[in-house]
Order: sequence, then C-alpha cells, then structure tokens
Amino acid sequence: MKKLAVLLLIFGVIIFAKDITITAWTVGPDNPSFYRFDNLKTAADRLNKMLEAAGADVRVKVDGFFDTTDWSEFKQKLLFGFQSKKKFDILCSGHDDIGAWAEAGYIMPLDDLVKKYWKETYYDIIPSLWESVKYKGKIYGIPQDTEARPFYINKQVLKKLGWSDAEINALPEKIAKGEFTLEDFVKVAREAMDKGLVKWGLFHRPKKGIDYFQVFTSFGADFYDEKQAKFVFNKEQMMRVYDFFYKLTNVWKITPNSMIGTPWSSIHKEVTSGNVLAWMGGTWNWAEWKRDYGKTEKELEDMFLIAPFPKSKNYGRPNTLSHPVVYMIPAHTKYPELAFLLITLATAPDLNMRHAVESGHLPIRWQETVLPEYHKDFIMQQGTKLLPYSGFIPNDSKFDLFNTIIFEGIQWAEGGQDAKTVVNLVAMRLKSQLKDKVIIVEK
Amino acid sequence: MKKTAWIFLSPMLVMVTIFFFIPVILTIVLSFTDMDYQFQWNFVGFSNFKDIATDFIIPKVTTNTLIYTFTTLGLFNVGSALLISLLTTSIPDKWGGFFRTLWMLPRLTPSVVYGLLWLWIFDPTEHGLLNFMRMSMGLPPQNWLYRAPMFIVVVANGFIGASMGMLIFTAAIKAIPIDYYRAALLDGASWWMITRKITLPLIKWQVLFVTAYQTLSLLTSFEYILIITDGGPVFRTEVWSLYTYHMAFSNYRFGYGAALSVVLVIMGIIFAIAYLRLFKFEALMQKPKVEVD
Repeated sequence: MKKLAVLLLIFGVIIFAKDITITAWTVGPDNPSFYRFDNLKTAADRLNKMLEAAGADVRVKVDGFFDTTDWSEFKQKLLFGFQSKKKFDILCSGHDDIGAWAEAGYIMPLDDLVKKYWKETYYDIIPSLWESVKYKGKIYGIPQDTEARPFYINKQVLKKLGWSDAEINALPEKIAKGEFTLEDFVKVAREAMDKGLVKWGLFHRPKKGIDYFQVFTSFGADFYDEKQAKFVFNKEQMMRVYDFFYKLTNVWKITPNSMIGTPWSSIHKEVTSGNVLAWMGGTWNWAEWKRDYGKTEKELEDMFLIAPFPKSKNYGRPNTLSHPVVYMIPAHTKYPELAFLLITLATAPDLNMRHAVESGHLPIRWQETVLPEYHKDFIMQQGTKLLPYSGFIPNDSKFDLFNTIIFEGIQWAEGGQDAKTVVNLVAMRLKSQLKDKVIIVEK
Repeated sequence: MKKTAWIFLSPMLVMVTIFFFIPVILTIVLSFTDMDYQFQWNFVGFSNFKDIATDFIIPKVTTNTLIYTFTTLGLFNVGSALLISLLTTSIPDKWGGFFRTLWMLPRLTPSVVYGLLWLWIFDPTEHGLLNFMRMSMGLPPQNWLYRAPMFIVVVANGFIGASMGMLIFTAAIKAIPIDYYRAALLDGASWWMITRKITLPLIKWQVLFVTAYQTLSLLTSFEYILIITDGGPVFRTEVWSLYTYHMAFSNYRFGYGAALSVVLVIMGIIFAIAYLRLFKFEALMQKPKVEVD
C-alpha cells in the first residue's frame, strides 16, 4: 500500500511538472495591439513543438491578460503586483517606466540574456531602440514595437480651400523642412473654420500623455538634462509653449476649450468624420479607425496627409515622438530564463510584423522591412518616414510626476490662464513636488 | 451577562480593529514618510504637512470640497430626500412606492456604468445626448462639462445620494402615529401646517443623522467625480478626497496622500462635533421621560 502511495506521488509530480505556466501582463490599451499578448502564446506553441520534437516532458503555457482599460489603471495594477509579488513572469509597458521600476528593483537587468541570444535575434533590432530600454547603462527591456506620432492633416479640406494637388502633396515635405510652420497651420485652420469647412482646426489627446512633448520640441523647449539626470523647466521657453496652448482655445479658438476631458470615442468620430482639420495622433490610430470606427484603408488614405509636427516660426524643429512598448521581466519571477526565451521567440520577424500590421505600429527589426507586408502597408511606410524626426522621452523614475505637473499647466492654459501665470504656477508646483530633481531656469 | 455581551461583540470588534483602527494608525504613520512607488518607509517628520500648508492648489480644493459637500447635501441628500419623502407619503402608498422605486434606480446602477451614462449625456460633441437633442432643435452643441462641471458633479451625486435619506425619512414619517394627523385634519390643518408642526419636528433626529452621515460620506466620496470630470477642467471639481487619490495613486506620493487623508479625517471630526452640538445630540441620547411597558 505504501509503495503504491509513493508511486502515485511520483507519478503525480511528473504529471504536474509537465506544464510550466508563464504569466504575462500585457497592455494595449488600444484594442488592435492584442498581439502583444497573443504573440507570447504563439511563441509558447512554437517552443512546445521544439520540446516535443526533442522528447522533453515539459510544456509551456502562457497565461495572463491583455489590458484595454488605460495606461494609468494598468500601471497601478503592475505597481501593486510588484509590491505584493503577484505571480507574473513577463510584463509589457512603455519604455518610460523602466527608470522608475529599475530604480525600485522591480524589474531585472537583461544584458546577459540579450548577449546569450544576440546572434540569433537581437543583432537585428534597430539600434536606436536599445537606447529607449536602458537605465544607468543597463538593458531592462526588449523593444516590442515602436511608432511615430504623425500630424494628420485632412487633405480634402485643403482641397476645398483651393489648394492644388501638387501643393497638398508637397506639404509634408515643407513641414519636414520647416518651411510650413505652426503659425502657418493656425492661419489655414482659422480659414477653414471661417469658411465652415470644419468645426475645429486642431484636436489633441484629451488626457495626460507624452504627445504634448512634441509641442515643446517645436518651440525649442528643453525638458531634461541627461548629464545631471534632472528635469529642466526653462521659464522663457515654456512661456512660448503655454502661450500656444492658451491661444489654441482662447484666441485662435481652433481647439475646443473642452478638449481635455472629451471622451476618446467622440474625438475619433469627429476626426474621421472630417470635422477637424488636423489631429495630433499616432500611427496606431490608423488601425483603430479601421477596426473600431468603420473606416476603410482607401477612405483613410484619401482623407489624410501624414507629416511631422511642424516647428514654430522662430524656434525648435519639426518632430515626432516614439514611445516603444517593451517587454520586461519582473525581478521576482521564478522563471527568468524561460520568460526571456518566450520574449525572444515572440520577437520573431513574422510575429512582430503581424502585430505591426494589425495595430498600426512600426517594425523593430531590420528583417521585417524586407517582408512583403511592410511594403504593402501605407501607414507603416509613412510612419517609418517620420522616424528621422523622432525622439524619446527620458527613462527617469520621476518622469510621470513631471509629466503630470506639466499637463496641469496645459489644462490651466487651455482653461484661460495666461502663459505668464501658468509658467509661474507650474514652476512653483514642480519645485514643491520634485524638489532638487528639477532645475528651474528663470531666463 | 457582561461576558456574553463581549463574546457577541468581539467578531465586530476584531473586524473594526483590522479594517479601521489598524489602517488609520498606518495612515497616520505613513503621513510622516515620503513613501513613493518604491514603498520605502523614509520618515521625514512634518514635511508632508508643511507641503500641504504651502501647496497653492489646496485653497481651491478646499473651496471645491465645501461647495460640493454642502450643495449636494442641501439640494439632494437632505433637501430632495426630505421633499420626496413628504410628497410620496402624502399620496396613496401604491404611487408613493412607485416614485420611491424610481429614485432608487441610480443606486442600483453600477457606479462606472452610472458615471459613463453622465459622460454620454454631457458629451461636448454632437454625439452626447443633450447636444443631440439641442441639435435636433437647431441649436449648437454646448461644452457642458466645461461650462458647469461642479453642477454636473453635484447632480450626478445627488441623484444617487437622495435615495438613502428618502428611505430613512419615509420610514420615520410612517412611524408617526396616524392619530396626530387625524386630529390635525379634524382641526382643519393644511398639508403645509401638518408638515411644519407635526412631521418635521417628529423626524428631527433622522434629519440630524442623515445630515451628519451624508456630510462625512460626501467629504470622502469621489468616485463619480473621478469618472465624470477627473477633477477637471483645471481643478474646478478637484475635491479633497480626489486630490488625495490623485497624489497617492496617480503620482504615487503615498506619504503626501496619507498626510492629506489625515487632514481630511480631522476635518470630518470637526464637522461631526459641530453637528452634534448644533443638533443637541445629548438630548437625543437621553432616556425618554415616559417609559411605556
């Protein structure tokens, strides 16, 4: 009887040892980015086939979720997950979280593992992306995708304003060269509104986010000192930025003063219905509009010009911003090697490409740029053209707090507070919340 | 007997200790730290309280909190609740019950769904319900959430908050002996006279309870504001409890958030003491002068 019990126990252990579950917490929040999770499942399927062929009695299963609520909800979930050491082995989030989470010891450095698979996979990652996943010289994330934030301009409206096809087609180039500025755009937007061709000239995101930093670059406003690893708030430069936001809703009135707080769905409906001249969006919007707003590829191509965000007349440069989403491995996982192997397999060119096509993101590997899908996809081609104008936000542990306060200033400015007052309020608030982590430049 | 009483009370005492006293003590301790997303207990003395004293958003937040609390309380949680109770107990019970059930519906709706409904009603584009109705009458759409955010937040909260007071006041009115009303009617008293001279004096303690309870409840409630305006536009609906939430769970300044909570608790205690004095709570708790066996 005893022998039988021991045998059953051993048999049970073998049976249960066969499945290793890797839990992945992934995020969109846009619906079409579901391959961030599904690619890990496909990677596990591929790995299981190899294990089966090798006669190994271990199988890998991917469990977890793909979150479509919003970034802050997801990040809260992760933060408390780290702290309570919840069972998850892979996570994906924005590269800008690396600073905070690496500093707190929540995620593990991946340099050795990257080296291990360098020749098979990682040699092929577009080099600039590695910069976005480093903190204090160490790699903490594997790029999952990247994107550009195009300035979408409704070309049908330009046509109605009397622009020739040649003028319309030359506009992205003129913006990229700095020959067509933000001030020029405001004039066109006002004209289109006055003639009743659109209800609004410019829409921007309705919540806190990083898109606004494009405006800073357009006005030549610095916001980070890499050497000192401190934020910079240059009052004179930021006065121009906040003055722009103030004038958008209060003087030029090309943006509604209720822009911040408007539901996303209403914004997308207005933009895709042709009621807005320009939208400060992202390449992934293209996929959302097709998937969730009933637009066809042709309708979108007929409607929008894609350009970098224009520079202002006297300052800055035309630009866009990339915000790579990256896979990371929590420091408390029991299976770091296996989790990393799954990430590596999910980084296969075909899998990453299907994510890029489905979600309107850009490829992360050179090998993807020779795939036929890349050459067929309009937004991917156009988005890639914007990458030379691209930058990243800093991987700093206090970035989110800095961003929150900067965004409060935008709310004040759009709400009718003049730029000088806003700059002083924001400077005070930055000093009180970030203390010596911020440099306030008075002039 | 005393021992038995303690045995019966002990489960609740344990619960209150675990879920109230320990969190309160932890919050107080936390308020003296600069804990952030790294969850480190670095003690910084009164630094967070000094920050509150110099935080220039605080006066705005305080004003918002007072406006939100007392407007919701006056117009809905006590005002409308009292009016609904008086009116629905003055009509046949079948219809009274029907109208009270209608007022209970918002309470039965999940908070997120309820909040999103309000967002849809006041959507600033033509896709919102109110703007859709306006546009069908040839009127331009309005930015409701920008024009009157506090009003919308008060109304959204009030429609839910009124039901609790309504139930308590209705129960209290129904407990008043019918003889008083019959006698008053025989003497030719009007509805208004009966309400003023009989009903209101006899439900005074229930009004005290609902006022005190709802004040404290409104001081700490923010979920509908979070969903509908998230404190905006530009802090116009940022109340103290929401500011605490934003500091702790959006900016991950848990120490500062805890300090804000401690101040809120102190504010709550001050209001509670003021109410007890104003409504003469001692008199309520006195033994009745006449005991009927």
